[in-house]
Amino acid sequence: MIPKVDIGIACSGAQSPAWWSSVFSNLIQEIRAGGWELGQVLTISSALPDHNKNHAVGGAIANVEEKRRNQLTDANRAVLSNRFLTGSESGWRADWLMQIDDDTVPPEMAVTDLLNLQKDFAAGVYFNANPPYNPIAYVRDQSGVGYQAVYDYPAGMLTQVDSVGMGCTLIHRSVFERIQDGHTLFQRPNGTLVPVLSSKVHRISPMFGRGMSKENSFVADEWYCERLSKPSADDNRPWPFYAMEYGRTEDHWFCELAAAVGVRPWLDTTILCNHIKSKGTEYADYQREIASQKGLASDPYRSGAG
Amino acid sequence: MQATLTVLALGDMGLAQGFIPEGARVTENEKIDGSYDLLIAANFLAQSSRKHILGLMRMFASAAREIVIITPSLEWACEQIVLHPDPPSMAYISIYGDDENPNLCGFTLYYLRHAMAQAGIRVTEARSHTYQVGVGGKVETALAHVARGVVDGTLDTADNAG
Repeated sequence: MIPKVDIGIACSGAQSPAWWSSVFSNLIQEIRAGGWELGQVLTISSALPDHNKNHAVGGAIANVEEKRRNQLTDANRAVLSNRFLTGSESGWRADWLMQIDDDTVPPEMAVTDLLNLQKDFAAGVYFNANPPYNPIAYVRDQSGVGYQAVYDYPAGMLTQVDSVGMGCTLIHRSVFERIQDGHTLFQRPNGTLVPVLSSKVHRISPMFGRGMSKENSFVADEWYCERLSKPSADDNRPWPFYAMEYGRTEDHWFCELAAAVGVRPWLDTTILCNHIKSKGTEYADYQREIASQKGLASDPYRSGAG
Repeated sequence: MQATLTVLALGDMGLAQGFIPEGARVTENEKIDGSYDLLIAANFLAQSSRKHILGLMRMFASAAREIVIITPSLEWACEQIVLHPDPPSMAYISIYGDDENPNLCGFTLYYLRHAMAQAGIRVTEARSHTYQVGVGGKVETALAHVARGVVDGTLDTADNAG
């Protein structure tokens, strides 16, 4: 059976013209190859430069109310993911969501290669646009709290990591469903939605926090406690698969939700993307930096030779 | 009752040991035929000529459902030699083998993965890991490549495979 794939592009910045043509020529090539069936191309208006292109890819999916919030990447991704889950009005429901950033260009046949891995959650590599050009892929650091970028890896590596960016990432429908099934949704005092792993939702003693219980939040010993409520039945906000909180990017949030239900992303380092900012950042930039750091080559940037 | 897993282990048994599932029935260094659940080739392929690698991998694919191939890291060894005036012995051994088992070819992880795919083995994991070896009375650390794959049409036993 041919896999059905939706493409989701969600970002807050304006993309380079080089991005648009590169991404879509590669996608068209893949669609012609016939290894998978393209469903919806889901985009947010901030990732589209003009009305014609909106029309060409089926229109931006956010309503006017959402668009105010959708300037932020986490909200954009949440809208896209929810639209992928519900499917189109015509009844289309894809098996997979391929996420691309509006500044990443996955290589030719990237979706096919990711599908061939037969992993529920897999990503190609794109590189930080600034030195040391690390891949946007992370493992937990030794403290277990933060992350460190995957770096100086052997070319060809295919391994599980703890977090990946969403610039070239294929996720199976079941991952989203497992996250939803495994979590209970609450509303915080500030009105935002927060998923809590259902197995960690306990009925606590009525004595707990006594005297402070009229407060929305308090600290008791080492515990930070916040009053949560159930979202109202008519709350139609998208399920918060992504959130930019505590200075972190929204992809960590998703990866942590997935990890909580037993899914970690795979990173395939043979799938190498371009990352277009003011200039493209490619595997060659990363290789030059590594070689320079190790003394295997001079640094063409610092010496001015490049 | 669950059937006992059958394993064919080729090459360096010490290195292969860490990849043998608990309770498996292990056959060591026999001919590459029969039918096994898992085949582990540890520092085995490098002693073959490069022109025979694909044929050997195809034999692996016909003998087992799941394949684990461990090779010395050619990238690591070359880097040691370029960067250090007195490289560790394991760098040379990783490239040339030893007197009893000289190497005829070397593997980057990229080449290993590519060759497995060409032989019809769907690679499910490819990474490097450090291991320790006693060389000339002292313990040295070296880097090995580990690539795991399944023969198409069989189940992937790796974590959360789709």
